[in-house]
Amino acid sequence: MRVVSLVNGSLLSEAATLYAITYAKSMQLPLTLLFIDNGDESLEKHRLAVSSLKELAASQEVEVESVTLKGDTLTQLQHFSRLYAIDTLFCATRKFTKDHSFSDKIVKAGLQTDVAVVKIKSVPKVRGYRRVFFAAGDSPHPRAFLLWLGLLEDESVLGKLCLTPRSYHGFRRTDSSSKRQYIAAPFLQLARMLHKNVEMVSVLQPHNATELYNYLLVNCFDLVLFDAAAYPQKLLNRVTDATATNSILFYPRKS
Amino acid sequence: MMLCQQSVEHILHTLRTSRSGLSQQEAHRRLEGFGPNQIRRKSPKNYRIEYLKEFIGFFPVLLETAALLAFVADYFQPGEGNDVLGYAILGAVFVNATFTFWQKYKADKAMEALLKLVKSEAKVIREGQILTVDAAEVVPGDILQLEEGDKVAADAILLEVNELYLDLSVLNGESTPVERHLEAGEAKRELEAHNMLFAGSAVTRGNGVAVVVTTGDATEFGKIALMTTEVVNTVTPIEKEIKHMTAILTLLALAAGLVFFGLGWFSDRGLLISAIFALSLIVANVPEGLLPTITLSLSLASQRMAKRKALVKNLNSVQTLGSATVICTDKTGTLTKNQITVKQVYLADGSEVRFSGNGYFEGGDYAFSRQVSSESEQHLQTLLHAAGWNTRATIDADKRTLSGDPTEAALLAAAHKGGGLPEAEMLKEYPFTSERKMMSSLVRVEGRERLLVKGAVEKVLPLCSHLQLGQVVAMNEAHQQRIAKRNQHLAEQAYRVLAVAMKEGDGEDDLLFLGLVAMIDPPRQGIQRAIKSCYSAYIKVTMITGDNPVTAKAIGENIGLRVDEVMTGDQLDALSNTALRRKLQNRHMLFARMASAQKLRIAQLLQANGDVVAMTGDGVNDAPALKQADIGIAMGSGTDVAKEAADMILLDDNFKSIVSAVEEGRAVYFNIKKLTTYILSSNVPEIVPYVMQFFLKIPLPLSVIQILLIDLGSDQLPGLGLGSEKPEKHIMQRPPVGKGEKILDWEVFKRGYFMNGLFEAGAAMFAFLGFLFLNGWEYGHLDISDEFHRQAMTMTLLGAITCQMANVFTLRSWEGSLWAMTSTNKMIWFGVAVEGVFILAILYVPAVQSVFNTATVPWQDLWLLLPFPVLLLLNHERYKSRLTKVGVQSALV
Repeated sequence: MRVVSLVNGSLLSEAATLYAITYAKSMQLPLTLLFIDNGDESLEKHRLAVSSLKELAASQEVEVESVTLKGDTLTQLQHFSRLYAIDTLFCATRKFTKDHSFSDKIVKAGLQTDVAVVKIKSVPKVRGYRRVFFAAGDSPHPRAFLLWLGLLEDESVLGKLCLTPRSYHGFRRTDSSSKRQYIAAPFLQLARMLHKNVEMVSVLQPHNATELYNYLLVNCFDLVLFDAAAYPQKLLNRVTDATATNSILFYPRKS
Repeated sequence: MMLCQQSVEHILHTLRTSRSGLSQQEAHRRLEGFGPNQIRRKSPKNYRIEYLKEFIGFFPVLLETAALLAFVADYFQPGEGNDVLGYAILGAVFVNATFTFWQKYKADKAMEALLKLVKSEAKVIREGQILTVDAAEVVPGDILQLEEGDKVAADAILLEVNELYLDLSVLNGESTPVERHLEAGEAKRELEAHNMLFAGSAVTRGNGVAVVVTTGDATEFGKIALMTTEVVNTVTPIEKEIKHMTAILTLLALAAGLVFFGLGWFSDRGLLISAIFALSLIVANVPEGLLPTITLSLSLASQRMAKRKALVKNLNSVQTLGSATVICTDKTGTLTKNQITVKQVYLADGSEVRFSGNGYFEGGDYAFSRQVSSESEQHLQTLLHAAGWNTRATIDADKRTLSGDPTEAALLAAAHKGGGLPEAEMLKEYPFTSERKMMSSLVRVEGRERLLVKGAVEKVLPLCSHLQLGQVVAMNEAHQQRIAKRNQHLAEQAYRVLAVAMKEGDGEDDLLFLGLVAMIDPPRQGIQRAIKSCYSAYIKVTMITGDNPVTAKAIGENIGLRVDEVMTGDQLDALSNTALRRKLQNRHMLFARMASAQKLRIAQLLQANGDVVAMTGDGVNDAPALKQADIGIAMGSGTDVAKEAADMILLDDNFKSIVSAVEEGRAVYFNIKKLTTYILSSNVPEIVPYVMQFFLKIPLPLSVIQILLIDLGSDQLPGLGLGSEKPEKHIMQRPPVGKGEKILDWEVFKRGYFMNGLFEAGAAMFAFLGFLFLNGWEYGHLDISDEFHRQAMTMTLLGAITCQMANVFTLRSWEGSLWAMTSTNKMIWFGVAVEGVFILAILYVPAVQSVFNTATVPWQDLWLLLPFPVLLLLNHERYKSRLTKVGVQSALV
């Protein structure tokens, strides 16, 4: 198994790869920097970025390799995912969600891998994040939970787990605090066994997109991870477009 | 480690950029990735949907149902004119909806025009070249070049700096510029880092080069803005009132319709006749013209407010102003002119000098009010030059612009009033910091180095070893006490006092004390009267300022504020909510040394006390408090974020305009009360004839189309006239409109339905029956096609209209006598004139007669219309005078 980060020499893809490095380090998996040369990207920029990322990964003791493929990006990606066992594919996306963005195509392509779509708002926050929010739907998806744990580098990084059952329009009030805690307990215990600093969002439960991004701002979160399968896409787009916080949308592979 | 704490090279490497900047291609690519460097605004309204919403309110749906019933009735009983009625009702719905939508649309567009951002630009280095680009195109990794006067386009980290001072007031409300360095310092978060520049702030002095780290919503400015743009607006009192009114009136109409439907059904009149009868009653009971008249009344009030420099963004907020019980106001620029001016100089030898003229551009002079020696003149020049050279501000009198700190500009202006400032070469500067509270400049004048010092008296005085009397003498304790006493005296008179000192050579010690400079930001003209007017209107005024407590209190008292207690920001933080609420309820508080963020807590606690809060603000940090307040008031010169969060914008930043707006708000409340009474009054002569016809089995006195003629025709303009009535004389001498006070209260019902309405019903029936009996009618049925019947119906209609003509005049004042009114209301006169034309048209124009079932009435029968309007007017005036007497007596008791 490997972690793959799709790079194209842009600052966004480079920033997204930093999350991939952190995750790969936590999971003790090798990292592949995948560049697909479709003629549009600058090879020179890519080389510079890759060498810098390799240096950084090496300093984190992450085994790293770079792979360059030629051709249509989506076709090559499908081909690559069939050939290799991929744990999670990281790819960066633009600030504002638009129809038919490349990340959308990847998500819809049905690749045999989990996909983490990274939306970068602040580059400095990628390097030094301290608070990670995990919007896990009504119950944490095991692989999304692993990604969250993987992103909590050490005990100085605080992870906040938020259980917000969804309704058709977005978030719905959770049944009861005790029920939430009951669902979250095994996950939190596991995280603490792994020496992760985790808490549950218990006082305030954001009930709509506005409340959620205000909550993220007020509580100074540096990164928010969404289990994308647990929320309507429209709502995710609204929150991640509006928030000033970096975000990762986790799409589990379709089994 | 935060990025700002890392080395410059590391920062550049992280952002994949260099000192020569990004390439144009990379900048474009990043622009696509990170999006434009803009604050996200509220998503635009879909005006088609907004327009359609006007057709699905409570009133419109009721009318649409009535129209549907009319068409159903026409289907089963054609030729009775029910189809005309259906179309007329639908027409009314359409006119109402279009008109209301148009008013709202116009208000929105006016706001958009006001908020349209002035296209700002930024100087960036790309591919080694300095380019001026649209600030929206700045991307992370861009290298910004900043000079004095520039606005910072995005959050950035300094790469080079040369005495750069930043005005961060839009973010933290602190008006004192802060110096920026290349090191972050001991910052726990980016906002505290000394090497960071923030979007929205402005360079007040110096220059620098910085690399952009975040843009748009991700900037600190953007984060605060984001928190306020999406907050759901609360329902305003007038919206609640309109809902309350429509619910009550609709229920009344439906209840009356149902009762009479039941009565008709049980008296064997048949289903259809009963239904049509019920429908007629519903139409008679629903005041179709009320909503557009209220909207127009609010719109006219907002236009009057705009003329008085208060721009209301949301029409519905107009009336909320009338309920304001507390006004929390800034000081600088709102209560004062924001033109710091040197007014007095106290020289070390005890001489006192007064300066004339206000502001930075107005000329002025000085005169000794106490001159100790002939050398005092020379000492004054030395002090003015020392103060003037020790500034970074510049004044361009021709262009009437200034740059730099306003306090320094005031010193410069004083130096010019003193005869001008000779050239001096600046060698070194010891900058001002909030800890040092002083600044010094080493200058070379006539070949000699001289250190000039200015700052807070308590900081500068201990550094002075000598003072300038007739000659230079050593400073002793008596001298220090004299100066400290003088300083205290000046501060108590609301002056901001600076000590000025100097020495030959460098080093901030062993200084020669030259004197004290007393400055003031003069109060705006008429501010005392405006504040007095607030107190007489039972409105508390709370000043919230960043000034020190002594100056703030002195200024407050100087302008007539009641101050029981001065509380600083630190004291406020230390106080529990319960204790603070108690103080806010029982005492006249003045808040000094306050940060903008603390305003939000004050607003929340005042509201928890049951107050209706009007809050002023201008910075982005004020936005949450403006949003929280019942009426957020942004300054015209403030940030767009504050303007967007506010309900009202003061175009001239003047407190007086708030008071005018409150007055207009109160006037609107009473005007709506008056016009509701006016419109309800005409419902009674519409209902009573139907009931009489039902029970007494007399011919139909008034047709449905005639009811609509009154509601949507003759009542409209006079009603609008009442809605646009100017504030009454004593409106600012009564308490604010209470939260529980309803427009549609028992008083309105009493006057509308049971007093003036009954007179109107009497008039209508008197005219109808009087005409019939005078012209030989014998009890029995008449056909509507009969000319005689239509003449009698015309008399009913005229009875109601003529009474409304008298009603509109007597309702001009809710409590006072009509005879005591001095102002003229042109719209009412115009409305009454149009009613006169209506009367002539229904009497003499055949085309109009055929539509409205009217006919020409012989003039000798028209006397029947005379008694009731006069009686109505006299009765209502008598009622008001009795009310006033009771009020005076209860006040005396």
